[in-house]
Amino acid sequence: MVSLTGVHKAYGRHDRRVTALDGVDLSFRAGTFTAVMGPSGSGKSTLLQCAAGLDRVDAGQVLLDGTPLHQLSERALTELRREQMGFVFQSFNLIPALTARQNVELPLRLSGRAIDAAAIDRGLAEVGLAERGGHRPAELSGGQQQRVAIARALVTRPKVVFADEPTGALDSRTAREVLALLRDVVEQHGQTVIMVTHDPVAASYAQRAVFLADGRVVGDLAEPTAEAVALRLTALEPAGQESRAAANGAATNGAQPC
Amino acid sequence: MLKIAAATLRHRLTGFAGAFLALTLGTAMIGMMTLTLAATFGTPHPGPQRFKEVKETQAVLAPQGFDGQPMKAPAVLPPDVVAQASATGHATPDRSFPVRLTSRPGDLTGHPWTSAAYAGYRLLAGHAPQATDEIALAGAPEELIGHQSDVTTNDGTAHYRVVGVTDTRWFENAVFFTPAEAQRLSPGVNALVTDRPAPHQPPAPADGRTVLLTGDDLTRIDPDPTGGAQALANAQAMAGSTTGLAACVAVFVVIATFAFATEQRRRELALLRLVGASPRQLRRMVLGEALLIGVAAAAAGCLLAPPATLPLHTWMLDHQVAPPWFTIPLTLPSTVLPLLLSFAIGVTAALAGSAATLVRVSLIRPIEALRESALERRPMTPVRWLLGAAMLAGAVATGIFVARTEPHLAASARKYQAVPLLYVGALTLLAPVLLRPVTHLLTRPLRRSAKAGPLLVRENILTSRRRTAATVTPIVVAVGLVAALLTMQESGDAALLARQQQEIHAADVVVPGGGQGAGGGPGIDGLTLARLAAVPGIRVTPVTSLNIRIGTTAGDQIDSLSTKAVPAAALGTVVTPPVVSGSLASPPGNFLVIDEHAAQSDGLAAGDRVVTLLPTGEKVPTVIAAVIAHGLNGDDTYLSSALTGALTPGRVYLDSATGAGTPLDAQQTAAVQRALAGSGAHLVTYDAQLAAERAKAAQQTDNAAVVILGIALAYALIAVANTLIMAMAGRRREFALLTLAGAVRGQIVKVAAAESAVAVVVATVLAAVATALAALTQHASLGRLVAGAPMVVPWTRIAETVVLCAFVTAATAWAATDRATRRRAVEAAGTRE
Repeated sequence: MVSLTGVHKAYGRHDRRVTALDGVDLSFRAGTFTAVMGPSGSGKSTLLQCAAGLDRVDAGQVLLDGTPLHQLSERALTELRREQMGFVFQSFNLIPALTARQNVELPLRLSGRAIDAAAIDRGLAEVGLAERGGHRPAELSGGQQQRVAIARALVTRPKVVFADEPTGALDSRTAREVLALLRDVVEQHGQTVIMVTHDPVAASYAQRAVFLADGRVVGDLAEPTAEAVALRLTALEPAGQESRAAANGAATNGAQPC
Repeated sequence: MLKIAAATLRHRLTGFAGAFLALTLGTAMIGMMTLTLAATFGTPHPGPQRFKEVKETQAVLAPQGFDGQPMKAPAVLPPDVVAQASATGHATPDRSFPVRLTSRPGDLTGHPWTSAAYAGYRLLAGHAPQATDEIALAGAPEELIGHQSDVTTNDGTAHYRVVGVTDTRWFENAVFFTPAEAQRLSPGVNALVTDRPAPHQPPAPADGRTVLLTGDDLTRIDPDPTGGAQALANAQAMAGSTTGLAACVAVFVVIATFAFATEQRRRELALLRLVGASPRQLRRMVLGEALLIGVAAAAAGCLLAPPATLPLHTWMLDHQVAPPWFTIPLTLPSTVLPLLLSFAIGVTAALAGSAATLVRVSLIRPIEALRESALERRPMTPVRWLLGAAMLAGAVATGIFVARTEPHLAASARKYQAVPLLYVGALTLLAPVLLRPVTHLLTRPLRRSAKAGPLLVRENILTSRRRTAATVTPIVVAVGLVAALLTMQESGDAALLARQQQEIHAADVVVPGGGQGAGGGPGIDGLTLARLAAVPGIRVTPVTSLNIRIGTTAGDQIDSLSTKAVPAAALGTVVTPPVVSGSLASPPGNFLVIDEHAAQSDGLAAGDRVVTLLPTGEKVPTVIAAVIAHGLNGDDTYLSSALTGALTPGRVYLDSATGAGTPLDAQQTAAVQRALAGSGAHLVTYDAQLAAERAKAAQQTDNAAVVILGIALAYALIAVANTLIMAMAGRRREFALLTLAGAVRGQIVKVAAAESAVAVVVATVLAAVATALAALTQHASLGRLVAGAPMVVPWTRIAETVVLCAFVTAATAWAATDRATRRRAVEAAGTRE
């Protein structure tokens, strides 16, 4: 579904240049739930943004369902995002002026599609907010806001949902509900979810975990468990950087408390 | 997208309240001025006024000037024509002459009672004047009947008794005498109402000396042949330039407000992009918001405009900007067009304001919604660079062009307005570029401070140049406009007086009783003049201001000029204008001196012979003795007073016979005082008279400043407050983080207030640069006209403006920050918006 080949990305100019992605090759198959993990500064958010076409890559290519994103114009990218991608973020990024329902309708309005009231009702019900459509973001709790954001991300039935730390601002119980929702997206609707997180528990909901450090892919784990992910992350922390090459499978003591 | 725009508007009312307020007030201001402007157009009093009751069967005989044009008072009909007309049928002579009354201020016009009916005067109380010492007053209170009054005419001062009161007319303040007394005071007949000759009868004495007027042609001998339009010229000019300035400031402030509002919600717009809005949809949304605000605010402004004209109208009448009969009609048909225009300007300003941000809106990338903090973007856009540089170049080019071709324009603030406006505009646009070096310089002393406050102030300003620029911009406009325009005005006025001082040398001035005698009032009578001339050892230079027409020897009119009649002996001694060609030495008895302006537009040169038509109707041959430098304030021309015998001088300059400008000794002064005793005229020193004129000019400057600059200033201050409120609300999170880092609320408020104070200082520096540039440019022109032209800077007014700006800015920053820090820090730090 989404594939990155030899992707390089750097920020800043000249002396202040920071390499965020340094030759990443990755592909995400349709209908899978992948967690992208790594310590802060590892380039995982940049990876997500490049994969979604939000940021241009310096070198390499990004394909979405066979379409090369780096060759599209800003306008074509906007339309592609609108039709085929959904976004969920740590800060819920709802439009404060609009009600929950209007926020969910927004992508449809923007693409000029007819609004099927019943479909919106279903969408809100799926995230458990059937009763709350008329509330504005400020009147909703964090978990409720994130569920509105998920409903909004799913309303166009996108092929890929990108989630950047979707549980970062939530307590653990609400976080579990949100993660379960994302997993449903994959299992029931066959959509693809790519989630960036540093939380091993969140990663355990995914079918696959990819590890990043210093802009490179340093590990890939199928059916990850919280413990396995935590172990590997500990090895990737800056203190254990010299042992990065050995991190692939090497176990160190202690799980990262999350 | 309009629905989303409406939802955003409802939600962000506080953010847009400022833009709404600015636009409402702007539209109200423009509406107020366009309503006033519209009221000054057209002819307020159509048709004949002075002779409106002349019957169909009657006609009015008036003296003839050039090209068969009729002349009005003080032109008089030839006595033989009057005698002939009076002998053949009914003929009512009309006389008009200047009068001053102790009981009523201002210039009055005397008439014989017999001609009162032709202007439709009706007696309201008392009776018509019957005895020689009886008068009737137009528009006076009934209580005056029976009172004695000192009446000054060109004949001198005498006692009269008020016996009647009539209604009033807009074009004059009339005093009626008995026909015989009127004839004694003003022997010449100015107009004669006669029977209209029958159609088959050949027109009576048609020897080119008189004109027979009927019907609408009678308007031509009205005191104001334009039917009042001329009296509104001042009001029209004031309303016109204020409308222009108001519209400019409104558009400017609205653009700044919208640009800042857009900048403030960049993240929200990026979020919409992320959710799938295309740049085009964003542009439509931003324009949609502007349209909604624009329509609502412009409509509100149009509602406020009509009541706002009431205080303006009162002010205009109180300050003689408009004649007392001036009204601003607020009926529906007359307000529709001006208000529609104001509405359109208001909506256009809103759309222009938001259109200016569209390029920036288009460049918003969805990824910006994900960045932790908004990155500071370049404070200067290419458009800003281009416009700023263009305005600067325009100001310099205009200044050079004016100095090379028509330097006299620089003496009039109104005509020279473009130069200061362009400089202020340029400095305003280029403000962000200059912000960094100026701030560095200003905060240099703070650099070594170990405290957190100065560090925060300095770094906040330097890293958020765009935010600071948004505060600085309106202050540059406010202080820059006040400083530059007032400096232009006062330097121009000073140049006028300097020119006068260099042109006329005198020690003392005799002015007629009751005023300066500059207007239509009576001058200094012949008897007093003869007594003055008899004082030994002094030189007496009577000066008469009058309007003349000049024509070819064939009788075709060339031009009409305002001139001053002076004795030939005064030329080159007391009166020394800067000569361009010809000579002031030993001029012929019928000399005429004209300025470059008249010489160029009429194709005349020194040595040319022209016929001069005096206001009395006399045509005299004159010789152009010299051409002098362009007058700074209208025509600067001189005529031999030997030609104007019948006209009384409006002022008399005195100096010692020993040399031009040499003061009189005590004995001479005493002799002059004796000569003036009982005449009503009095003696002032030349310096005192110049000072009085300077004070009068300053007073007028102040009047203009209050309306024009007051409006601009008020508007700019609203913009400052508006920007600060928006900016401080946007910094809620930043303040919360400071609190968490250990700053107490008072410290944060102080930092914000100090930041705004620095912004005021930076703005003042920029405004000073604009003013200095404008003053230097103006000086380049004035220096060509007046040697040593002074540069007058109205320090007090500028200081007041700066203090006002500083106060409003600091108070708003204080209050807005206080409000922004009221929430609990932890709560505020957690939010992203």
